[in-house]
Amino acid sequence: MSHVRSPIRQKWVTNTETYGKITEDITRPIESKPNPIWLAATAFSGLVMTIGFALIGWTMWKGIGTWGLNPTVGWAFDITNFVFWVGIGHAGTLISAVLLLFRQEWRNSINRASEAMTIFAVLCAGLFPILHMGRPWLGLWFLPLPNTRGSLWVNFNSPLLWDVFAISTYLTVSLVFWYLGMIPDFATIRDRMARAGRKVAAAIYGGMAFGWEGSSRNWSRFEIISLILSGLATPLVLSVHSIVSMDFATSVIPGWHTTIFPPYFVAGAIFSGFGMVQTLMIVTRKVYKLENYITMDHMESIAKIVIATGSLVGFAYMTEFFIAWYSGSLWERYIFINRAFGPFGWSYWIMFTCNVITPQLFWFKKIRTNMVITFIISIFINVGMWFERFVIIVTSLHRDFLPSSWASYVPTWVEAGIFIGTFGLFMFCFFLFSKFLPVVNMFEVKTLLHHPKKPAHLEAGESGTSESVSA
Amino acid sequence: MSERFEFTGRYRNIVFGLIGVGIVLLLAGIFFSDQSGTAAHDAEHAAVVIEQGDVHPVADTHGHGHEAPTTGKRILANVLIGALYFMTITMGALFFLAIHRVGNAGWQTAIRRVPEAITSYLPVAVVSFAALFFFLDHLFEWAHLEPGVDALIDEKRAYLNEGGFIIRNLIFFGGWFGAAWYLRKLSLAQDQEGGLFHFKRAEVISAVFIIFFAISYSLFAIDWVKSLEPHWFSTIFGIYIFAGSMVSAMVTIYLILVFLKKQGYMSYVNDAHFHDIGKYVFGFSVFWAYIWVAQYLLIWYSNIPEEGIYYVKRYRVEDHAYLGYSFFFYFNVLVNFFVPFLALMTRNAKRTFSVFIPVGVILLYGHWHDLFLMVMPGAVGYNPGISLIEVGTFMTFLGLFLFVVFTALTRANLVPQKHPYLEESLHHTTGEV
Repeated sequence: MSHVRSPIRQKWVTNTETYGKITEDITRPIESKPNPIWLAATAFSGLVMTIGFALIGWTMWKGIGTWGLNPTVGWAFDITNFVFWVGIGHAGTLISAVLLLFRQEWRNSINRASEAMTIFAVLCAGLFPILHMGRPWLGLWFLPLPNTRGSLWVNFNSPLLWDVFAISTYLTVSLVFWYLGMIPDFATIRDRMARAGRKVAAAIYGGMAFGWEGSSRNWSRFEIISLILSGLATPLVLSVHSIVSMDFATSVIPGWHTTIFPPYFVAGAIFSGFGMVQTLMIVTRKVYKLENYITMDHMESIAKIVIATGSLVGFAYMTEFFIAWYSGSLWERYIFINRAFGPFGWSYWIMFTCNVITPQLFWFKKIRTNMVITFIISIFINVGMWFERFVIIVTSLHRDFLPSSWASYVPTWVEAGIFIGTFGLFMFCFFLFSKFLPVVNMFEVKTLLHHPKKPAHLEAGESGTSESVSA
Repeated sequence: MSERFEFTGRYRNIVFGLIGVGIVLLLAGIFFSDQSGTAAHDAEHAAVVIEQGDVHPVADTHGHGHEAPTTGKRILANVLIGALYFMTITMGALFFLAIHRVGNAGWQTAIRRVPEAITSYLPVAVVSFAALFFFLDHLFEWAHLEPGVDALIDEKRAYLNEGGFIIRNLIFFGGWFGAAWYLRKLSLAQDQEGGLFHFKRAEVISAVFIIFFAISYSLFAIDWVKSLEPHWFSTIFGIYIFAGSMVSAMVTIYLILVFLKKQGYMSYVNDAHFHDIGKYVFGFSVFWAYIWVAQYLLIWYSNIPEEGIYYVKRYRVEDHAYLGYSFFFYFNVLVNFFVPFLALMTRNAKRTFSVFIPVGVILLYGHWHDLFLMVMPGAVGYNPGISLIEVGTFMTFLGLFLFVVFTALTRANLVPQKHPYLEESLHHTTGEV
């Protein structure tokens, strides 16, 4: 990081002169009474979540015969939802770890909420592999624990087991990273609550702050552990979804077995995660009036990442299609033709339109800076990325090698309800987070406050050099 | 601030010496080369006959009415490796410039004349590939075989045909050259005129280039490397070539900077710049390993014969009918992943020349080794080993590359004056050692 900043660079904090104002703005929702809209939204998402859990209960009571699976299409909604939610999580880790390594200052104000999003998304994702086993009470068998079942042991050769390790490591590191990052902010809230005479709140936030006192020794240790955790989290951004992709790619199923899957899944995951970040941030910055911290430039930067990752995903689609033809293999060629023009062709074209075409609209600055259109596009991306997993999973399965076992798949209301229920869970957690925890990282945003004044002759963007400016 | 590199007579002589010695070694290599290739080849066929019924690796490249591997083929394959080697470094440098402009990176401003100079090698790289256009039928099985001999290749003729091959590669080269030339022009104009016009124009050009690059570079990789074994396919192949390009481009930039600094130039380039390039070297070598695993693990795990053949050719040892690459196969991962991973882990290693330079040289060898392992089994068949032909061809290309790059360095101020991020870059720091 340079201590000199080019005057042509944008400000990441606007209309804010003091550190105090940052604290005031960000702790306001925590300190004030919940507003009725928040209560209604939380209650509604809680209701949706409850319905989802009721349907999970129904599934466990009756068995997965309540789902629309059949011997040919043995994986459908369950694994689609799993991959969808794990993918959503990736943006949080990318923002907190990878963008930190790349010294991207704009991450400072969106990392907190994105990391929270990661954790809630992984919680939603984790439900599905356990549920799809059919006997979730045996979920412990996922773990390589010593047992009394004779030689029955987990299969270390199976990517499904690697997934257990990958996802649980991911959840642990994300959770620790997220929590540690909040400690200095908890201490700030503790002190404010104590000053306001709110003893219970001060005690709770004080407990969560682990006795943080803001000493240089505290900060020094904090920075060391942050660096170590971001070092650990960086390979996780790549490894988790690479391993998820191997659930499919290690098989011999055409449409699943292809070597581009690991990086392609990672790009898709970051893409879908940033779509969700857009959706959440547009609402959050509006509702909590955080436009000075999550500025239009932030939204533009997110949109640019969406273009980049969306294009990578499109590139992977085209590569798969081309190599399927180039392989000369009958199966490979058929599966891709069937994917685009077979009975599930509609889902392929929804995927293609949402993921490849809509993000290209962000090339236009007018669209990037229009929050209504950006919001709509972000919803398209979320839909498209769900369909991507559906397309990969279902269209590759439904017509297998023997035409006599070709089948179709229609989800039941139970499956659909569980999926909608996970949105309830996700939003419920996010609403609680946005009320009780600081949604923007206060101490990191404060490091961005002081900028050199932009000289008049560069405002017009015509002449002058940085040398003459900063001298 | 102004500074110009002088390509002095001494270094000029060394570079010409490289070219001269390279050509002499190549000629000596041809003179001394083992001409018993035909006999060895017949022996291979004998092996094929004996083991009929097995899935045999040799049968893949050697099945159908072809000629014996000759010294001529081996030289062609080496020219292809040399052309690929420096083209990949050049394209890595061009991608470096483009991606940093799009990402608004300030730190690299002070060193950007080095990657710019590397991109000026592009026309020479294009000529080296264009020369190979005339030998396609000697290099590529699909160009050599008549239609009707090999059903699988016939399936791909719509793509794998000489006309299409030459036309699309000319389009790729044209696009890359256009981008490199225009970005360089904008960068030099910025020196003279300042302002933000050239700077903003470069952003647009870079963004368009990156999209074109993604598509063209992976097709380029398919054309020149993957299609050497035309039956085989892998969707990740283009990214694999890209990963190797980036590692070696970063090492090249680093080493040229070290050279310039030792000569007393670029006093304003500090530890932090080297540290950041070192991070890229570390990061991209890990990325290379990641892509390597993605390709290898998935093919190994699925064990589908059509795909597995690629690796069977490269790592089976027990049977002499196999091609004798197994040591090369394992060594590849050692030099391209384990060495940089262990040696460049700490922050000091990335900025201490005495540590980085040996690792950098190993990685530069590693990139050549990787290309050798990709090209040779398809182009030549049996492993010819590394001898005078290989060394000589590489030295000739290296001398040519250095001559072009150093000449380009003399053409412009080493400091990109009036660049809006120059001041940031001059004050760049990544913390105390």
